[in-house]
Amino acid sequence: MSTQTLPVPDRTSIISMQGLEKKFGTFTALRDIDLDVREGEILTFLGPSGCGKTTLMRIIAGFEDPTAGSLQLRGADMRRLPPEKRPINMVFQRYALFPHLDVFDNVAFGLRLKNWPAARINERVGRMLKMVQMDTMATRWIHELSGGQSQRVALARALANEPQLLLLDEPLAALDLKIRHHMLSELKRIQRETGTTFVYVTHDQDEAMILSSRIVLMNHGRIEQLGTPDELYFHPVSLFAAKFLGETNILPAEVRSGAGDDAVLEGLAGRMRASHLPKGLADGQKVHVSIRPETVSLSDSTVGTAPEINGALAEITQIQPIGSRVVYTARLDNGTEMRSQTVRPPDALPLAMGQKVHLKWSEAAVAVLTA
Amino acid sequence: MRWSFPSFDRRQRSGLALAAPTAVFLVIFFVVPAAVLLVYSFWISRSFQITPTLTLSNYLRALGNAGMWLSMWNGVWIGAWTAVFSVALSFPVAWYIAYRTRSNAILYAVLLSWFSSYLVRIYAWRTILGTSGLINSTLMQLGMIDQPLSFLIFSRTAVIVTLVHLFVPFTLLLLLSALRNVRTDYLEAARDLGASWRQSFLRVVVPMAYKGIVGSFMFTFILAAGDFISPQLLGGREGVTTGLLISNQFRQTGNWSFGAALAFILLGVFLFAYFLVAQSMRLGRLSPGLRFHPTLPTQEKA
Amino acid sequence: MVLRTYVWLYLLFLFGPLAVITLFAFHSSPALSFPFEGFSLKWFRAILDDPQFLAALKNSTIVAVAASVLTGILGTLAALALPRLPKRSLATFNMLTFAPIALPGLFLGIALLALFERLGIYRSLWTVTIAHTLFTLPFFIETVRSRVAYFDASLEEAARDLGATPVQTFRLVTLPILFPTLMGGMLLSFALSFDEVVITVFVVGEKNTLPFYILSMMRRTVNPTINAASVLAMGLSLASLLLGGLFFLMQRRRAQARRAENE
Ligand SMILES: Nc1ncnc2c1ncn2[C@@H]1O[C@H](COP(=O)(O)OP(=O)(O)O)[C@@H](O)[C@H]1O
Ligand SMILES: [Mg+2]
Repeated sequence: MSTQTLPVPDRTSIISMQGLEKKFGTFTALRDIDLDVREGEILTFLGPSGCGKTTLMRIIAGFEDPTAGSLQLRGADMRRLPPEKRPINMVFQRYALFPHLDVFDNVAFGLRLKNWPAARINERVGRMLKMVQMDTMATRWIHELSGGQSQRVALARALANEPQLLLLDEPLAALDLKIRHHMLSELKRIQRETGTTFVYVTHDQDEAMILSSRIVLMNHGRIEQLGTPDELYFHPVSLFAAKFLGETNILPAEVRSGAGDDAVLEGLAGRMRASHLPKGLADGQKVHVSIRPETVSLSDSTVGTAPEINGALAEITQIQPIGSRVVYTARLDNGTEMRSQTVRPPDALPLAMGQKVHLKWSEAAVAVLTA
Repeated sequence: MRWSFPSFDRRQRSGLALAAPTAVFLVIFFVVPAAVLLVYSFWISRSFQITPTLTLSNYLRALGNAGMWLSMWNGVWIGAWTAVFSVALSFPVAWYIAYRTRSNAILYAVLLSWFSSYLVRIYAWRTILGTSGLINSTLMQLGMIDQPLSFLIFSRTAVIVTLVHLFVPFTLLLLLSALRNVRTDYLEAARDLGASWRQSFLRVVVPMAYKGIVGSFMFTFILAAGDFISPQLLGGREGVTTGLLISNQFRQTGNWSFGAALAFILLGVFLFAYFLVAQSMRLGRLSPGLRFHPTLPTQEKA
Repeated sequence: MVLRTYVWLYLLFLFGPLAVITLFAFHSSPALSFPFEGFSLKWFRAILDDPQFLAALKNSTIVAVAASVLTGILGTLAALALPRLPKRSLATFNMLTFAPIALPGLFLGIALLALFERLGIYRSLWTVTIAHTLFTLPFFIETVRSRVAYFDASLEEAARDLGATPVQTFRLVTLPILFPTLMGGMLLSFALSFDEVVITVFVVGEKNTLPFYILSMMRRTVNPTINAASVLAMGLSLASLLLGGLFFLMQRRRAQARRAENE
């Protein structure tokens, strides 16, 4: 759903990294990074603070040297190239707009270094400022700008050089929520207009979900999972991935009756079947399953019978309305709690505390986590 | 017409009350004395006796005196070279402390040397550069020279070396605090946008650290050009500066009015020097706050 | 690496001459040149037997204590004023407090001399103290300025809100937080005053200060008693600085220990 409006990514890769590693002294900040950045995509580095996102981005920009591995730009080794020679530009975390220059001169900075004639600079800067809707503020000084405006200028400055790749390091972190959402759609529009490849760093899963063509989920300097937002959301490969993206019910389970496509999982929420199974599951293997709350449906237990598989009988122990949603917590007979989330109806809630209910979820809703 | 008194809130009033003792102290012992000195420069005095007769003769005499101009030239020469060397020598160290190390050890060492005695350091250079000083005696013992090198001491060079040693820690501190305003991400942003090392230095570091760089240069210049003890002890005949002349008027000759006039002339030269430095930075487009584009037609100010 | 080497050379330039002076203070012969002929404490003995030196040392100590206390009082009030002053007044006040050190000491010296003469004030250790305060006060205010800027005004407001009077707020909140900074500033003032000579030569009376005495020695003699005197003077002012540093360090350790305890 979120990928519909994005351009179809071109398969050719701009940057490719293999076996990349970065050590600071004895501390390994990045290891075993194998990654391609594809032409025209928005690739997001997502992960908790300190997992190495900024470091990876700074390696691409040329501000850090990897301690091992290869880093290529369209097939050519990039490791020797200083930052100013790379066709890559960056929007800095705190913008780093030059305070001694006004908006216009900030955006023109890179172009002046190329000794462009004034007319050409004026044209390009004007176009960039118009694109970020800052064309009326060209003569403002940097300290006269709000956070959102600084953000736009930083974007214009980085894009003025027409880089092949734009790096953005948590560009929205300093903005308040409303502007952040607005800027996200602005970023998407600008990316579409310019067709520039974006590498975007964030620790905010919502930003990543809304913006990305693909997400690189990182943890402790490693790539945990790489895929489209939908792949990460519905088919996490690890406990970490399942927990990091969105709310979920995590249940321990064991693989039963065969390791093929018809494997059945036996766990605290009864027997389950999953439509997607990881390869190489063995009989008796211990795994976890992740079931998103919004895929669990509740119904009054006095109507119909409890499902034999992918379902359970439970009692509602908590009802939590959150704006447009309601989250129910239900306790199974064995004490296991599961949450279910539905759209909140405009009238009274159909279920009450203490009520016995049937929980149900589909095979597609079950993600099996082996790590 | 109505008098409008600025109205202050309680917090501001308490601030004014707290500032008052210092302000009064500085007015009595700094502003008033400066005014007295200014008045003196227009009076007449001889052998420590002042006559309150309004006259321009002190200034005219000073400006018409070749010795005065020579001493001014000496002072400016000494001050300028001291400032140039101090800034040039300190910049790499300030850079190192600001960007290359996280420990403050070097900074503390520099601070310590700044507060180690002023006179001792002058004395040290006299010991090192003197006619029978360390350098000469060592060179003579090594048989490299038979006569002591006379240019080492009692010369402007000796004064400059000493003053650089005296003021270089101060220069460094000012430069450092200027560089601390230029966070590394500004440097990286410049590199990212295609600036070479040199370009990012000239177009980002210098304008952003402008105040500190010009400030440390000017401070060193003024303190060095106005110092009279080093020229007195190390400058010899060649190193007579206006500062030394002024000090002599007040301590020996007793012509205070003339001395005061010299002091205000020196002050004027300092102001002129500041103007020159600021102007040349502007012309070199190294100042902050310059606009590099023609004013655009359709600008508004919201 | 080139840069590192350069930094070391720079430090060598700063400290080399001082090391030379110190070394020759212990020289067994009066020669101030190599070869070094052996260690002796005789120059120290000579200088410590010199009643004029001891008197000058005493005078300098008195002046430095008086100047740093005066600076401490005025400077603390000024520091407290900084965050409270209205904007315009603050700009004027900043200029006024900085101006004395923006000029060579020579200017301060002759101006004060003219003032004292006009007012008919006899030159004494008092005039020296005033001159030194004029010189140290700007340094004091500049050192505490940044600390005061970080000082959170809401702390004082919180104290007032909890029922403390302005005086209690100062005693229980403001002073304890700013104390190390103020102490550091005062020790700095002590060291600066103890070493001051440029202004002093104009306002000194019959009683010598230590640097002034050393200056007159430098005119008269060239032998290692000057070195010994210099080393003693330098040692004393550095000791006060180190004391200040130690004070800072202890304060920080204690704060860290307290934080660790609370965790
Ligand atoms: N220059 C450096 N020296 C030492 N450690 C560093 C340096 N830069 C980053 N690190 C460490 O590397 C890890 C990853 O940092 P970073 O890439 O900034 O994380 P993120 O951007 O994901 O929050 C952190 O633990 C950080 O402390
Ligand atoms: Mg980061």
